Amino acid sequence: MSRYIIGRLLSIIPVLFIVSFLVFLMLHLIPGDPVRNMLGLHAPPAAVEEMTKRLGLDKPLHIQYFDFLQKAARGDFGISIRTKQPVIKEIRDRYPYTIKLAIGGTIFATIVGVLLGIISAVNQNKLWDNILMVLSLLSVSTPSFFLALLAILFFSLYLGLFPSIGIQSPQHYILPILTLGAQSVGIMARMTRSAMLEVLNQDYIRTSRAKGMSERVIIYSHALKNALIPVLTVIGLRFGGLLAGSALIESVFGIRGIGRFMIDGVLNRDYPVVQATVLLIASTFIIINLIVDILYRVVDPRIKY
Amino acid sequence: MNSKVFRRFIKRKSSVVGGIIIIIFILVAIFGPYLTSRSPLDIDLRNTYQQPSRNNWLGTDNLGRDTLTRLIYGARITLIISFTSVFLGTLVGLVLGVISGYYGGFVDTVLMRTTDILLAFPGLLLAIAIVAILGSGIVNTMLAIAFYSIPYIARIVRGVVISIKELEYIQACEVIGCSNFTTIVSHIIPNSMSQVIVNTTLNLGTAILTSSALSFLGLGVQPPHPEWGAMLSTARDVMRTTPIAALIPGVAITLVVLSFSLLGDGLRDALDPKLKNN
Repeated sequence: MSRYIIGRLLSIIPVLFIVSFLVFLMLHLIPGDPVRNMLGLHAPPAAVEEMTKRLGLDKPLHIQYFDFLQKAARGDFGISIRTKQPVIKEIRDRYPYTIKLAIGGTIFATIVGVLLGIISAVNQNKLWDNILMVLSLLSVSTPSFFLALLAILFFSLYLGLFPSIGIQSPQHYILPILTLGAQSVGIMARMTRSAMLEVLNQDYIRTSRAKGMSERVIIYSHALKNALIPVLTVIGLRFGGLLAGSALIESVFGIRGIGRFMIDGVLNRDYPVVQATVLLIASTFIIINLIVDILYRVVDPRIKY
Repeated sequence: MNSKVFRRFIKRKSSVVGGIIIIIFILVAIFGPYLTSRSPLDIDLRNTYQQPSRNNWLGTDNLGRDTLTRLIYGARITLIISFTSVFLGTLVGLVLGVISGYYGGFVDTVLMRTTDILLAFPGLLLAIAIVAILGSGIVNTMLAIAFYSIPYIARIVRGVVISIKELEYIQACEVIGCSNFTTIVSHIIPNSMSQVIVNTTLNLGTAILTSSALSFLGLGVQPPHPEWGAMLSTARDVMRTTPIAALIPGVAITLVVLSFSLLGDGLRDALDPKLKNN
């Protein structure tokens, strides 16, 4: 087992290298001169030269990448062109909000999605199954930013139950987490349903039924445990989706998270910010998937790699 | 679509409803200008944020433009972006997937490792990163969406190709001297089509969600174009006073995406009954 974990840990190193290289290349793939893009077309030549030097763009490409990597490893992503602050400082302030939202959204989606998936599978092709599956499809099809606006309209403006803007108290987290996770609820429910249906057709479930075991024990103790294995992979993938999707929710609820920071970076052509945030979100996603992969192995000892 | 598949498809009422909504959506997008005599860009600052009335059935927006007209023209933008980007992504993904699955070996390894890397970015993040490089606008939004859907399609097609290339009829074709090109074009691609059609339909919904998300964030289609996500973004400032301005484009996006999902589910069950419940 430990050999597997070490192997898996080592396997993400090349992936992280390539991802970091792609993020580094972003600046060079932008049509035109990146410095002029950032400073504007009429920037004085002295400022352009100074910025070129500061970003190290006058050096050969491989040296630039090596510098970028070295600095990134130390958490140095340069200075934001707009705020003139070190990018890492902003990230340190903002990252926790996004992580909390993504984790909250994932937990909410998992609990509700799995529960609905079980109810659906147990009542296969009956009324409840049909209703839940249409609802789950609706949740998958509703844009999270629209749902967030609807939630603000009903729960904040009409009913006054929750605050609508900012993230000062635990109460402020409720609507953002629910709206961020809602789309994943549908995905989880559909996934759990099909995994449960597959397991419920297995021989050992039939044997348990033949032995006269209660349906509750069969579903929650035997079937669910095995059905959760494919669901686990989806949890890892959804977490990545929620990390990136958090940008939309942060934008609606006015939360100073890393997603909003990234979007502002793109809008302001603040490339150090864009590079840092894209790299951070992608790396978090890779690491979360690694953890899920390892958990997968722990949960299901049958899996051999 | 042969009659057996068609019979299986129409048995599922929800998918038929989805299909009908998609047909209406496409017709509105194509014939939009004939449905309204107004322009989606006509500004009337004396009539901003009007409630629905006989003159403006769905009210007006922040610049007094008629919401219904903008919704109709928005259907056109949504249709162009989603179909073009998904078509491009599917085409490239199909070619890469077929090459990867059919030839295997080194080409397969390189292509699949590349898709692994691209899949290491969550979809929306990849789209945002591409827009950061290319800039905003309709064409770049299409390219961003096309690009991020390539690895998904390539992987699915590769899987299908691997599963059918060892089948007898493919080997028979090789034995009678079919060239690789003939085998691929006449046998491999037609036989992976049902999977490609299902995924393309489902991808159309995802493409609409992503393009409206990009426009909502200000990274996609730019004003004054009447894109649904952008309309929603403009309307959010007046949620309290004129909620209908946000409700209309939001419901439109949801309805069209939902219909593509229903249609895709129905097509999957009809084209490949074995896959039912998965």
